[in-house]
Amino acid sequence: MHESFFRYQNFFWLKVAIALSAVSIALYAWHTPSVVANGGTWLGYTLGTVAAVLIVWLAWFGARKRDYSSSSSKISGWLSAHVYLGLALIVVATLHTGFQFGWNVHTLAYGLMIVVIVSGMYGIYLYAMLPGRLASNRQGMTREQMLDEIRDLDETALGLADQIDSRVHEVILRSVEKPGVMLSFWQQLTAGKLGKDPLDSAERFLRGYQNDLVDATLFLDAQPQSGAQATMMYISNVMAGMEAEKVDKLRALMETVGRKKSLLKRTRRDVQLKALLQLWLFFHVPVSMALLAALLIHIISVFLYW
Amino acid sequence: MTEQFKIVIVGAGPAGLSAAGRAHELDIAYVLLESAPHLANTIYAYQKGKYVMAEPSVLPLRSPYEFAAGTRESILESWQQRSDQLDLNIRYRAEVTAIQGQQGQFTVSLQNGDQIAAENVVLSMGMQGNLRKLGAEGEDLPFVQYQLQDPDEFEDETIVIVGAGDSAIENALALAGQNNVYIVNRRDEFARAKERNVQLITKAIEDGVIDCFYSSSINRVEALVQASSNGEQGLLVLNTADGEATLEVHRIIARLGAIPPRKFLEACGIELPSADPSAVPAVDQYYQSNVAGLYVIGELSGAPLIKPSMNQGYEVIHAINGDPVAPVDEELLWDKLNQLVGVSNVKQALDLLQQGIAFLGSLTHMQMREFMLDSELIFPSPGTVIYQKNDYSDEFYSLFSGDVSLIANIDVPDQAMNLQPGEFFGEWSLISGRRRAETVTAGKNCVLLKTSRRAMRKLMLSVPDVQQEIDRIAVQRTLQHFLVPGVPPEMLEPYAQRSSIERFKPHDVIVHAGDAPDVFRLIRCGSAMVKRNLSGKDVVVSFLPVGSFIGEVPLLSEKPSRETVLATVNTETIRVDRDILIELMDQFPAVRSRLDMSVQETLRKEIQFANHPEAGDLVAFMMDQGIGEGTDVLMIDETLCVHCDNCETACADTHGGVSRLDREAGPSFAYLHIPTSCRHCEHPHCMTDCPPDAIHRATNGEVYIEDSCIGCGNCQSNCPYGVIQMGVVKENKTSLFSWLLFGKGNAPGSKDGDASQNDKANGSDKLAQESATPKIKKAVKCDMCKGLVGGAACVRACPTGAAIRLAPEKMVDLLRERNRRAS
Ligand SMILES: Cc1cc2nc3c(=O)[nH]c(=O)nc-3n(C[C@H](O)[C@H](O)[C@H](O)COP(=O)(O)OP(=O)(O)OC[C@H]3O[C@@H](n4cnc5c(N)ncnc54)[C@H](O)[C@@H]3O)c2cc1C
Ligand code: HEM
Ligand code: HEM
Ligand code: SF4
Ligand code: SF4
Ligand code: SF4
Repeated sequence: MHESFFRYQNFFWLKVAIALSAVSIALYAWHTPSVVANGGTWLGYTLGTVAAVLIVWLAWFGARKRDYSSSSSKISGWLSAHVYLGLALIVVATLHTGFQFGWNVHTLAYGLMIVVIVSGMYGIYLYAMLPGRLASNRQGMTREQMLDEIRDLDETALGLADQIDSRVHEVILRSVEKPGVMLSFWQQLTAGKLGKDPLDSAERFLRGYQNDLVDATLFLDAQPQSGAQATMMYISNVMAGMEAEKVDKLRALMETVGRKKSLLKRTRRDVQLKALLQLWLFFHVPVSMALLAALLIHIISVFLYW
Repeated sequence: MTEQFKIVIVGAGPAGLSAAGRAHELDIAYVLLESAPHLANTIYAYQKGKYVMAEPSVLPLRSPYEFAAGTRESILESWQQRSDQLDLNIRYRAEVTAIQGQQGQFTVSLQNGDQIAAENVVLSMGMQGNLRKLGAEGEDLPFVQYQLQDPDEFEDETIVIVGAGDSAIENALALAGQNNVYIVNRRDEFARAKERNVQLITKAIEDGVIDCFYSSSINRVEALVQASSNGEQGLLVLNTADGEATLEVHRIIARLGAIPPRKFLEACGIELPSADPSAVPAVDQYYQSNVAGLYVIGELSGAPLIKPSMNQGYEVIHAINGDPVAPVDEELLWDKLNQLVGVSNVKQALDLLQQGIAFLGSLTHMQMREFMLDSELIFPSPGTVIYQKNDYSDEFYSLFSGDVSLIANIDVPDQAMNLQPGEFFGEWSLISGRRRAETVTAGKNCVLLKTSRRAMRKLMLSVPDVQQEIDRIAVQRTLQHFLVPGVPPEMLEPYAQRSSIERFKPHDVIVHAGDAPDVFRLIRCGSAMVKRNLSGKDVVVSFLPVGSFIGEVPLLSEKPSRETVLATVNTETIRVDRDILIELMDQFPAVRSRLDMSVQETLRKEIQFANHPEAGDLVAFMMDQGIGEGTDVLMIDETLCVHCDNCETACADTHGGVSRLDREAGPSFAYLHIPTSCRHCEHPHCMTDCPPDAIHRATNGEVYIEDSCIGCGNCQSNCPYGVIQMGVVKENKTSLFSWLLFGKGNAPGSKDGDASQNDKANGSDKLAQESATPKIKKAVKCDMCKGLVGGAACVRACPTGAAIRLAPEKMVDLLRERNRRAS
């Protein structure tokens, strides 16, 4: 059955992580070094080594993830271990330092580690919250289908606009020509909320246009019906008929634009959600590389200058 | 002047050409008469560029002409060249209209009045010259055609296609793009055609791309006195369910198949074995008809393919020449049979097998030869396990001598069953498409005939006696297995005899709500779902896989059924009427407890579903997606999937750069997404029509495609779930390490495009190799990661646990889990 990486094998790795943290804390409490607790005591060395091994192993996840033909257990198990043991690092590494922080390369490594961990926490928050939203926002369509339908709606809108008049056509054309979906990096994340949307102005324009048209029709209908103005009456009826047809077309057009707007909104939301799910990794991974470098320097430096 | 020949060959198709070529080589006086102005008119009339297949591949070719799979054009060209080279004595535009006389003095009359004297005549005229016509007034008007070579030739026309077979549907679809197309179907559905074609045409009709007249026949066709303003030339009058309908048309294309030219044959004195219009003349082993000296070969004698037709052409000349050759498959067969003790030739061996194995008794010698080509004799040493319970293998075995033992329940070894020579086993998996129900072990002196699933199904379809005999035993054994384990199946014979087998199509109703409680059924193939009307709404309350009972609750409670039971896929049930079941219960108390158990299980399931009516909708959705016939289905939990596509990448990486699954595509319901990926069906649709028999099923149920695929695309169109693609698969893969560390090779899982660039950089010798064997597109599909330790790469690579592969028997667990989550 479906088993999320959180619950992998009944929270096995959560249990391991808690045990690891508990043992570290117990040792730390029990341990009474001659000097103030720090990374240089035997316990400090032990915890430091454990922490370093964990970090290297956590970073190795990136490679393991891509070794698709490897038959060693499922990646969801690895991720489960990654998350819980990564969190356990907070305890293990902190106890290693003996809370001896300062403005040095050692604390830089520590700081980077915390940043990576916090970003990881943000990541799993997203992993937990977004997939359901993304699915319901899709309403069973694929991205491709959404884009296709937008294109279809654009065509319908242009066709209708063409039948109304050139001004309307122009406005619709403008709303179609501007790339509506694929936005900049920043716009992706904000679901394109920045700036003026040509579609909004098109909609506003159409609404105004419709009001004018309706007014005109009403006005024509309201002509006095005196016999002397029979001809006038006839013409106005024809015009009213024409205008009424326009009003109908316009209504259809507005409906199409409205549908496109909501679909566009959903598509942008889709882009946003997907981007959110992926972009945090572009932070998590580089910082963890930096962490590896800082860690290396830390270890070398303590051996050189100790 | 009448010329005189030893052999006159009528029809220059593959059969006739091969015969003429051989006669030429043997210096026999012959002439080849062809009504068309070119060779091989049937092949000439294939759609342009058609890829012609050379089947059956195991059969060697014996002919002065070459023939291998290739395009229509290349084959026609090679035959033309060969004919020129031989300087064949061929006469074009020579249509034979009559043959009179007897052996030694036949007179062959031609359309133009010429007459030719012949000692022997070989008829190799195929059937395509005798296409089935409309059978109505106006069938020969110029705008009525019976073939379509190039659909692109027509544009903006109103075209009526008559027929409901594959050619009719394919033509209609090909023309619909740029024409206004109608299709006339005699029946109320498209049943004869391939499933894929049925889907396509049904969709086209639903979408209004093609208009269909169902349950309609042709009344008459008339030419319009004056073409209409749009250029329509004819008038078609149809008898429809609502009375006559008329249509103005540019063109009528009738695709109604071909039939033997009965009149012509009978005028020659040839007897046809039945009144069926498609009956072909009966011939002896030398292809001689009932008229001595008059031989019939090729399609007209019932050989449906090119290669066998060509072989017959060769053989018939030798037979006439007085030095008959053994059939071309003789050696192949002898290789398979020579280990049988005490036989000295193929015929003897086959006779022996037929005597020894009861259900083969009714086969003709030719059928037996064909059957043996697809079978193999094995001599397992005592103790060898033939197959294990729960394997997914699907071969069929007949016991020729010695013995085997079948154990259905490993825990009760004393219930083992020993088979006698002449009996068969393995029918359960053949019929149900499910795992093996027993473990079979060879005993002493065991000699087995092992037959592929395909050959067995073909045989059962073409020889009703075989089907009957296998069903007879299968029903006994199935009843025994599911109702009265432990008793010898023979004891159930009287009950089995009075049971019957019913067949249902998808969505057919098996039981209506309110039906009297007097029938018990056991599903032996397919599956069913149970619906109940809850406050005005039909709600799915249960799903019944193979082996389930239907109707046991009403029967035991003696109340009419409250539920409707529908087949989800093609389904077969064993029907046992009430009184027979009661007798059975009286004789075997075990039956009662089995039924009680099933009742309990059914009620338990129903309570489950009743508490979660939404689960029923999910079942209905899953049935629609083929889970009812799948054995292993990829399902993604949308509340977990982060759209990283690691699953696809993993698949591509482990499968030559082509992902076999499309995660985004495919439907979703209640946060359950079924991506486009193989369901590994019980009776795989893709297998139905694979010319080289390249699709197989491995022991774990994986349906996979072998390298022998010729890329015909049949499987792609037969798969109702659209999971097969045609693609070029690459073998080379660089290691993860060299990619990570040195940037060499392809990124893991990279697709086609990037890889071909890489090929170019790979040095010239490799390129040369590749251009020698042009890359043909072959069918690719999910093979459930058959060769990979650890199983499905897509599932293992999913970081979140969203992707799983699920067997349908686990479906109830999945529903339970989802119900739990919902509440
Ligand atoms: C659409 C289609 C696709 C097919 N694809 C394949 C394939 O991929 N692979 C395969 O193996 N098989 C295929 N077949 C089957 C194959 O075409 C036939 O099995 C094969 O052509 C039979 O050969 P034949 O020599 O018996 O008859 P034909 O090929 O039909 O040849 C008969 C010849 O006799 C001539 N003739 C007929 N009547 C007279 C007369 N009265 N006087 C003089 N000449 C006459 C005809 O003009 C014709 O040239 C296909 C068939 C069809 C219809
Ligand atoms: C093989 C692994 C490690 C070894 C051998 C090691 C060794 C040491 C030693 C000897 C000290 C004491 C230095 C001193 O007192 O001046 C120290 C301190 C420290 N270590 Fe480590 N360490 C390891 C891993 C780590 C890891 C994984 C981190 C966290 C990312 C870390 C962070 C720190 C910090 C923040 C200090 C305190 C610095 C300070 O005293 O100013 N160490 N380490
Ligand atoms: C110092 C510790 C950590 C290091 C070095 C580290 C490193 C990495 C690396 C290299 C990846 C692979 C990304 C890729 O290639 O796609 C990764 C993925 C990930 N990490 Fe961490 N990580 C750490 C801690 C954490 C923690 C504490 C969490 C969660 C609380 C976390 C959550 C994740 C998640 C959710 C992924 C993405 C998995 C996927 O979608 O494939 N990480 N991490
Ligand atoms: S596997 Fe598919 S494409 Fe290949 S030969 Fe068989 S049916 Fe044709
Ligand atoms: S099971 Fe294997 S072949 Fe099938 S889709 Fe998954 S990775 Fe691809
Ligand atoms: S690997 Fe898992 S999470 Fe990623 S896209 Fe596939 S199913 Fe979704």
